[in-house]
Amino acid sequence: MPQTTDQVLARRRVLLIAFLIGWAAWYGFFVAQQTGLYGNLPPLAGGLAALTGILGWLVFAVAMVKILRFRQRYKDDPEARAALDDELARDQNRRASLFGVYVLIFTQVALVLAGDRLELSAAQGAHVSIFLGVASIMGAALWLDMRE
Amino acid sequence: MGSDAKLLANRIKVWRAEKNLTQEELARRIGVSRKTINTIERGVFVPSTIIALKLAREFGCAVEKVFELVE
Repeated sequence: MPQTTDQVLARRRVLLIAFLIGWAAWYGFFVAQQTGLYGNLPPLAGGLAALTGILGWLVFAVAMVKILRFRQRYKDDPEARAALDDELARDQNRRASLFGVYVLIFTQVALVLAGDRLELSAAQGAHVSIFLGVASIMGAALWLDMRE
Repeated sequence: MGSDAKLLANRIKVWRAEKNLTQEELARRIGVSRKTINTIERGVFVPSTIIALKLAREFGCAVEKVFELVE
């Protein structure tokens, strides 16, 4: 039975939410390790953070595989492809990307201003920027998708 | 997008009713998602000229009969 465009979009939304949650948990834990936040946590909180990071990686990996299979499934379906990448979707992606650029600029300014106090290396600052940039772009795209 | 949307009124719902088309059917014919038709119909999203012309062609009328500027 052919799916409606709403069902196809809803399926993609669920996969992207899982991807974002998994990635944020895993990469957030990685950033915490890189910046020294993880080392300052008490043992129980540190264990929970590590568990969250591992579970996040698993969710991220499963979501990634499912997204690839999703793309493959609709590769030869022109109606679904048109619905997944139509004008509204492209406009939402453009606005989400613009929001992400502003978040990145703000993050860079904040890191420069707080540079001495935070004592972050360039690589650590880059990890923070990547985390906030990707999370803000994907989060904004999902928010626009659900709101409109 | 928000301010532009306020300048554009549309009669898509009326035309759909006249042609007995659901949003999903119209979306398939135009090559977009149902959500896109819904956001255009509600005046949330301003479509490109291409989609506006496709809608007019689907309804069998001039584009001005589907969209009009709000003075």
